[in-house]
Amino acid sequence: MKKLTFIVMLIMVTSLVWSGGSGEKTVQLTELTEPVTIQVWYSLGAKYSAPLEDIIKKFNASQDMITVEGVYQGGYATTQEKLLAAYIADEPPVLAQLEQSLVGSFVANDALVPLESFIKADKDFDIKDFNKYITQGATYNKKLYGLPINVSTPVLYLNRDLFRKAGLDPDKYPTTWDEAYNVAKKISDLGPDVYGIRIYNSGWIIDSLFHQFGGTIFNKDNTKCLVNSKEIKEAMGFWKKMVDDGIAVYQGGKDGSTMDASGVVGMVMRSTGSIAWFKDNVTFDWGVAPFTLGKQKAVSLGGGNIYMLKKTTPEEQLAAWKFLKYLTNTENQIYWSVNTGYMVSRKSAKESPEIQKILQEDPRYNVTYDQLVHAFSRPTVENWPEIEDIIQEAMTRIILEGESVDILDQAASDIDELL
Amino acid sequence: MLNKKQIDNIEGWLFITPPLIIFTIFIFIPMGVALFISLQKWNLLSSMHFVGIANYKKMFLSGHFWNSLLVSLLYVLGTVPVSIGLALIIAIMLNQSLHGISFFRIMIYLPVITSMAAAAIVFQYLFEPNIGYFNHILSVFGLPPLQWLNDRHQALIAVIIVGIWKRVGYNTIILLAGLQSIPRYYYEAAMIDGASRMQMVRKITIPLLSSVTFFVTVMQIIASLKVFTSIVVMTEGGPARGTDVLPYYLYKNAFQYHKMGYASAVAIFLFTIIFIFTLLQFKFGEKKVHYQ
Repeated sequence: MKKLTFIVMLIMVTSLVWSGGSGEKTVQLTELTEPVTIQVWYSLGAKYSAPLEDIIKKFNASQDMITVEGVYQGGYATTQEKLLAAYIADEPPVLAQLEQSLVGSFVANDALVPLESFIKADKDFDIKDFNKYITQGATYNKKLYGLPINVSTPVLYLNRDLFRKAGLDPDKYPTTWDEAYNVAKKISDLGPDVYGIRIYNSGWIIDSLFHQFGGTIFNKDNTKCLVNSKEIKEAMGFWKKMVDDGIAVYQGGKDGSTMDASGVVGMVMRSTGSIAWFKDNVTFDWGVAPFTLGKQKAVSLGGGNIYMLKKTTPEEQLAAWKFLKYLTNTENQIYWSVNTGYMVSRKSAKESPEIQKILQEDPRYNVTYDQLVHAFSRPTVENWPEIEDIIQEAMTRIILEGESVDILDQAASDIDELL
Repeated sequence: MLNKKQIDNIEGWLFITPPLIIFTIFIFIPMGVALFISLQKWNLLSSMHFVGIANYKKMFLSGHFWNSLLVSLLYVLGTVPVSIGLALIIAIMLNQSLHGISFFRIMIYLPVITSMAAAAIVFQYLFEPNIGYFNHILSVFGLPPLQWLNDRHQALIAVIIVGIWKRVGYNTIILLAGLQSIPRYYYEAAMIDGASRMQMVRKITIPLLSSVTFFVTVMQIIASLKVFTSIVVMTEGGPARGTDVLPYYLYKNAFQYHKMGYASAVAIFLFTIIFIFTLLQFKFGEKKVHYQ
């Protein structure tokens, strides 16, 4: 018994030590006097990591004070989990890429360094050159916390061969959900294994859907969940009808990508960044259309931004700022965008001859920029991963298990408890 | 001067010290910490609040928890009888002194030493509804294709199949060892008395194997209650919580929702169930079972 008391005491002491936070610091952009090595954690695998590593290499070669190490940490969720663990262990990397909707807990617990003071102190950095729809994704409580790296919006990828087979004009893409329904119906009539549209319950896709039907997941102050609103029930009911009528297939994940590549899907909404994936994996004639269907023209901002973590030294933060500036400069944004298909976020990069040439030669790249004015930021509530699971589960039950959209009432009250 | 008994005592303690240190660091202390955290509200980033048994109360009131418990029990019910029955049949078949029989004994053990994460990825492709091999086999027999991992109920069956595949080799080897410890003269005597093959299995093999079978059953129940890797890789608990077994539910609450206190409470609950089975093994493993 004595032993147990000792252990409990030990744990309590450790937890007291843990709970000590770090205060705000003012920033001074002095030059570094000693070499610094910093880490940047990212979640971009496969072909997307190569251009990023190239930029890191170039940066390291360009000066001799700062060495940047890029570390791939797995998918968005895994990176967030590891970052949280590293932060608690007091050893976070100074820079990390986080997906748009996974920043909430870091902001709520004051774990990020706001970038305002760096931006103010640095005369060579012009934040006004960044597209404001993109930077709003990294802005919380009116403060900018991150700079964009792989920003995207969901666009509608079309299988133009299937359009032709179904007797449709592939250049006339649907602009409303009703049109999308009719187009999808004609395509799915081609055969039992062919679907007009592939839908799935990825958070940012269904958030776009809800907005398009005029609904939002939370009220303005993020204090109440509105997934049981008339609009969202209508949105879910509409998708359910498409699946019930056999014109849509409800399939996410790897199996979903496999379907896209095998050419049995007429339309699918995926990230801007998937352009590179389509180029590599698809043999049929494909096109890109705006995903601004529905009453409200709305698409969610996707991808990720790079954030600076607290519990790091001022020297590391200064080095991190210098790298961040380099990573997001016009030249590197162009390099990144050309190699991945993700958007550039600087106006100067967008207007550069390199990007303009791509946009003119392949108008498919244009769509995401055109619909950017309809972009909205993802919710940044602290318990988002759990809330997202509740909504996704409800959607699966409604679409696959034939349950009524009224189970959203229960989902909304479950979510309210988490807010 | 120390007497003989005291020296024995000191020697004994010295012998068990190394494992005891390892157990303390990696098992007893984390267990104590889990028990302590289960009484706290803690999201990793914030500081801890003592909340008493609130986490346990919340757990027993949560529909998701009961769903996970049910899924875990269904998984146990699905894996245990089949994997042991199958293992027994295979063990009897492998218990022959044929030339080259050890090749088959190795083959049946291969899944046990295969990395579950790697195997689960391969199974994911096999279960794929459109191009997967399992649906191809079904179509050869004229059966309709299944949705497998995309359907709430079929997904559980799919992970049960993987669980059986993974464990049947282990059970077989243990049962085989048990079979080989049964003296041959029982069978010889039975043969002289004119017993049939089936009678020998029923009256000699099964009773004399009961202690080993009991051991294998308890180990299998514990392993099934702890299933995790195949779920993470293949289904992530879905669709719609259809494969949300307790260890995965615990993991998700701890490392995705950051509800450390609540997850620790679930961990303590899972520990208690597994502990009860271990006690059963200790208590009845000795008494109720037939030894020769």
